[in-house]
Amino acid sequence: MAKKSDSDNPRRYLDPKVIARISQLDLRARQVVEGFISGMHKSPVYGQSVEFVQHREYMPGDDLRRIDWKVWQRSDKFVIKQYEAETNLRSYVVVDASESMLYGIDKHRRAGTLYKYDYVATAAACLAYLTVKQQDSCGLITFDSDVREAIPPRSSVRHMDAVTKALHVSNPREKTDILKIMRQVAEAMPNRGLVLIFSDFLCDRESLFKGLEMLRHRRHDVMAFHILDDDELLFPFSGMTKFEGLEAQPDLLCDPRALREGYLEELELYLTEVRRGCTRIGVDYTLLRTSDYMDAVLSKFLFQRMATRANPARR
Amino acid sequence: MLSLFLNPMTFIVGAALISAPIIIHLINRIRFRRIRWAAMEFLLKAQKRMRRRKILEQLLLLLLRCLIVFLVGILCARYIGGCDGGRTGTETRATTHLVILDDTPSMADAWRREDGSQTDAYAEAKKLIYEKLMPATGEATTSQTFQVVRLSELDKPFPANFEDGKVNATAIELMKSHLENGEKRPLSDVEWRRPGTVRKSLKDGLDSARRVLNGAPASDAKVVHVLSDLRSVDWTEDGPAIAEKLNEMKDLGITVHLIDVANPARKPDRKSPQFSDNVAILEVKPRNRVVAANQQTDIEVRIKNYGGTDLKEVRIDFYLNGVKDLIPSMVFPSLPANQERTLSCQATFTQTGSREKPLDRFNLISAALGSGEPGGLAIDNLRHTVVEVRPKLQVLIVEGRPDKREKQDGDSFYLRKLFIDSFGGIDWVTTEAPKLDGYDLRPFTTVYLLNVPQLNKGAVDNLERFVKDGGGVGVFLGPDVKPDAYNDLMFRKKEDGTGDGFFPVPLPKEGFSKELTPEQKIAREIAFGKRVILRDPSNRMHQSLYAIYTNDRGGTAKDSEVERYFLFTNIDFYWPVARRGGWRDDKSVRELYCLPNEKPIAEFEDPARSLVFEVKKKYNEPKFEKARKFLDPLLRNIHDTPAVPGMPLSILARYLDQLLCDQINDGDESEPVLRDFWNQPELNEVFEVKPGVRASVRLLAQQLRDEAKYGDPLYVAKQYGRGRVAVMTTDAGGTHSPGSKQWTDWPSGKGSPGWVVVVSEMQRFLSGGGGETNMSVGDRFSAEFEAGRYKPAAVRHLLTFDPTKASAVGGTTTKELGEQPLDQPANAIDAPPDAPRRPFQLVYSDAKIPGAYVFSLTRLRGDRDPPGTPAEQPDYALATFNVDAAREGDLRRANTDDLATVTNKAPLHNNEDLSWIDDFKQKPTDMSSRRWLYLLILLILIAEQAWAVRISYHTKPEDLDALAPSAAAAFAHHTAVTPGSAGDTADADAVASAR
Repeated sequence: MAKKSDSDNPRRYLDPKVIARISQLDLRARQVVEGFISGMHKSPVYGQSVEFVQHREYMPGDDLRRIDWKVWQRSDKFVIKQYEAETNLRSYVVVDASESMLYGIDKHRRAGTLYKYDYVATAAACLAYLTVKQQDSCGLITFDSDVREAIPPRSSVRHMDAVTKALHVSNPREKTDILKIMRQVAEAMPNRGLVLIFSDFLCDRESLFKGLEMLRHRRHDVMAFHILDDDELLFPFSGMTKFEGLEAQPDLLCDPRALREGYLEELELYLTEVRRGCTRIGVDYTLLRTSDYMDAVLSKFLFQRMATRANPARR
Repeated sequence: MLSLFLNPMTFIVGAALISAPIIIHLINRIRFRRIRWAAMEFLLKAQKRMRRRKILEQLLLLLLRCLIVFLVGILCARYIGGCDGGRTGTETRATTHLVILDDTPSMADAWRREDGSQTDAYAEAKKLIYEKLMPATGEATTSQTFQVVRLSELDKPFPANFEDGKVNATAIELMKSHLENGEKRPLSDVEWRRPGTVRKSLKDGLDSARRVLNGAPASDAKVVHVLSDLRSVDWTEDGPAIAEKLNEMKDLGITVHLIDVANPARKPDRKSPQFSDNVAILEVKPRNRVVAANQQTDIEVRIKNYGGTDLKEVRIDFYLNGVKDLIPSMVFPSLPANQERTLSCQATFTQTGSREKPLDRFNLISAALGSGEPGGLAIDNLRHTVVEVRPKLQVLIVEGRPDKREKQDGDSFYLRKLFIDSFGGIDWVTTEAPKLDGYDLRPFTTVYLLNVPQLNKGAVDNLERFVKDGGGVGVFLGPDVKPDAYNDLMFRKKEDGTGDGFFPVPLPKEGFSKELTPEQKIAREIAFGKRVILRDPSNRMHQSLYAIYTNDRGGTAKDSEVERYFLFTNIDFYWPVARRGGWRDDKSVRELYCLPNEKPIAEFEDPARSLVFEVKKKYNEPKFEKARKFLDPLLRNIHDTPAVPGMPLSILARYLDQLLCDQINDGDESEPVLRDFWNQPELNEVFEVKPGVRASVRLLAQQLRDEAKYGDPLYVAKQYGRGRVAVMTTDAGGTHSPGSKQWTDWPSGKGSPGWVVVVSEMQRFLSGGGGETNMSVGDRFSAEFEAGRYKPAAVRHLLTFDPTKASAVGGTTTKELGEQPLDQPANAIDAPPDAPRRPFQLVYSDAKIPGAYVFSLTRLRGDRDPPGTPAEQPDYALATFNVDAAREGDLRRANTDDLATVTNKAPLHNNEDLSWIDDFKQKPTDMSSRRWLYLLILLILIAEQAWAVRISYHTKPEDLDALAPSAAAAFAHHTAVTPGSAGDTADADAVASAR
């Protein structure tokens, strides 16, 4: 039986080495979300549980079963006992599959490295797997100018097959329409959840920030993973080069060394704008580059999430 | 420079070099790669934002690079295509160099170098040739030819052929060897090792240089280097001629460099350079070139101190035929700076030669500077002369009255007594006037014509030839003399009144003087004045009178005792030669003695009174009070004397002489006062004496004195050719009919001692002719010999002596120099068939060594020779050559400004600052030959590199942090790279460097 090529293997994003390192860390949601599975994630809703939190004065309409009669006996007041509830995490991984994510595909394949889409697909699969393994549910949306694949959140292991298959078939094609996608994501998630967006954000910033604000408005916890190729960060080209614009952008023939300074300055303006915009909206922003190690990125993410949970006042 | 780029090849190369960066730029724009790029937004914005800035930056970079290429192109153009240089004078053609090496005696001016070694200007000049000039020309990029010619031998350049003069290492070595070792040449030639003895003008050198350079290709540049000591005397005498030659050469495109090699080096701030002190012996002259054995003669030595320091006790040693002390040394007590002095000494000769050694008759006298001379030239410290010594001197007497030859009333009686009885050593030979034609006069030193009526044409020609060759002719006139014959054949008056013949004065056709009346004779006796008067005080120094007025030490006698006898001399008859006439304008004629004026004194009464009046008008001023004491009696006598009847005119003349006090020297106390009086400006102020006549009081007095004092000429001398002629206008003491009267009692009367002395000196004067006038080595000597009477060849011998050389021990060096043919010029085509042949000519101008040159000839027997004459007899011609001390000894150096004026600012260099020689290396002297161009290129290169780095053509590790800190932060959370991981790429290297 002929061995299937690496690019054809739908499970190639579940690199065991990467997964083994990630599994020893707890994936914690920064906020308590609603869910069905009690366990590792604290629910933002107070309900039936074993861990007491506080008393609250009885209000008409409250469940009479939650009245603490011992307190009524001592003080002749009706107070209600509140407990911390543990729920299941509902998360969506949103992956940009536009044409700009395809930059450097040939070069990276020759070098055996990851191009942008390859990288974010790997990261998305890893995070989905981790989520599912913790009995949380995870869904997937890939998009370009429109939603191309949408997989509802599930918590079964077999669900991963659908996720990875969706990532595999979603070859980048067209231009990004981020606002439209965010609207569709928001509508697809009626309850609070975690939205993990993997994109190069080479789109209109106003639309991007509107989309993110829409998600935040529905009280989703949003994490933006901004992926850029090393070439896009460093712009290391030399010699006369014709840059052919992806996503219907114009071409440019130039000596890249002559424009490097200007390019880097414009890049800095752009990155600053995106980072500040995310911060302003309350989106957790992380800039990734294609040569970053996957485990390092995920570990950094998880540590950052835990730190946030340990200090809720930061939110 | 522009012409180089008009050359097609250099233009193409230059254009290609300049366009290279542009072409590379265009090719790079055509060859580009394609990248599908996502972040076009930033790229487009960057391109829009940096477009103008980048264009300016790129243009600046392009400019810098083009500038570099341009500068490099200049350098390449210089080396490949040559360069005409940024400085005028740099030659880029093939060049022919000719060095005129001054080897005149003054180039032996010696000094010590700083290391103590001895050197001289000539040695320094030679070193300059093979150590500086030739190596410099050898470095030139074009063909260089180098020849050297010495000033003394301009027709012998080295190398002899132009083709052999190509400059290379071998040629330089050969030149050095030739100049330093030289080739031992015959004595008649000059070696290259030392300076020569011949003085030559640079004018001849430049002429020769032009001839030599005519052999060079016309396309060559031509350069003449004059290596000389540039002495002032050279440029004073020949300056205009040299300037003319220099201008001609300049017109021909020949560059002339003057290089002063004398010490100390000529500096710009000192226009008149220092020079060495020097003492030179200018002349050594025997009074007689031919003397009898044991006859005493004078040797006159003239020396000059050319230095700036007074010298004392300067001694001259004499060597007679190489033996010292046969002639006593002479000491000049003092020799002031830049002054010359003359002294005489007496010498006696005994060596007369023999049949076996005929040349021994020529006695070589060498005078050498005995006292030391600090510095200066050595070659001018020795000088030679020659005296021919014969057993007896032959004197030929031609009498007008041969029948009275032995008698007392004959014309030669007193002369014979004087020559034979008093002199000794005289061989008295007589003949008659008609036989003088064709007579062999060579053996005679002097010929006397005594009352000879006339000579035929052949005799006159014979005598003239004799005189021209150095003989002496003495003439005593007499009553038989026919003035027309003398005037026509022997005087031969020219248009200007001077004579063309050997006779000095024209004789009056009116005949000889009238006899004095008895009253006049009485008055003459009463006057008691000199009857023979020295015509001019300067005549005391004339060679015919020199001994009379000179004491034993060679100084001028205060007064001559001989003149006392002139008081008793009576000359009753004479030929009254015109006192004023064209003959006085002849510089070769000198009136030595004259007779007193015998005019009536009454003719001078008015002029005398007029003079007294004029003097008295002046002397009233108080400052003349002292003079008035002496003037008053004299003026009174002058005023009164002419009024006395019968008073001799000589009395008035004596008073006037005393008044003027310019000739007498009696030691009277009035002399200095009166001389001072006449030197006052009032007495020398010119005023109008009478209409059209202007004179000063002093001049009036002198004219009156001369008119009153001097009568008709008595004794006249003439220099004719190399010989001398002396004429007495009276006779030699004979008695003449009718009346058996004597013309003069001077030889026989009380005044005879004076006659003896005067005639003795006349004989010495006449026999002293033929001495060449201080000839210098290199001068042209010529003599003529009767055609057909001589074999047409002469054998040359050199007699010389140098006390400083080892060979001096053996005495005089006599060296045979070989045989020389005589020139035999043919008669003119239109000459009659029976015309005599033109004489043979002996010409010699190749003397290079100081000394006496003897030419031995063979005389053949002639038809008119007396019987018994041998078929062949030896005959000799003699010439003495010495260094031209008068010019070469003068070491003063020409003023720099004067040189610049004369040479029209020709390049003048010294021996120390030789930077000008670099021009001959033909290295371009534009800006590229200096370090500034290279420094400029380096600076532009640095600027180009800095600018290129500045405009991001080179990746900088830190620029990511500076330009895009957000992007740099993405690299901050990068974990360690593992081998084979995705980050192990070329881009990862860039990322790592960014971190």
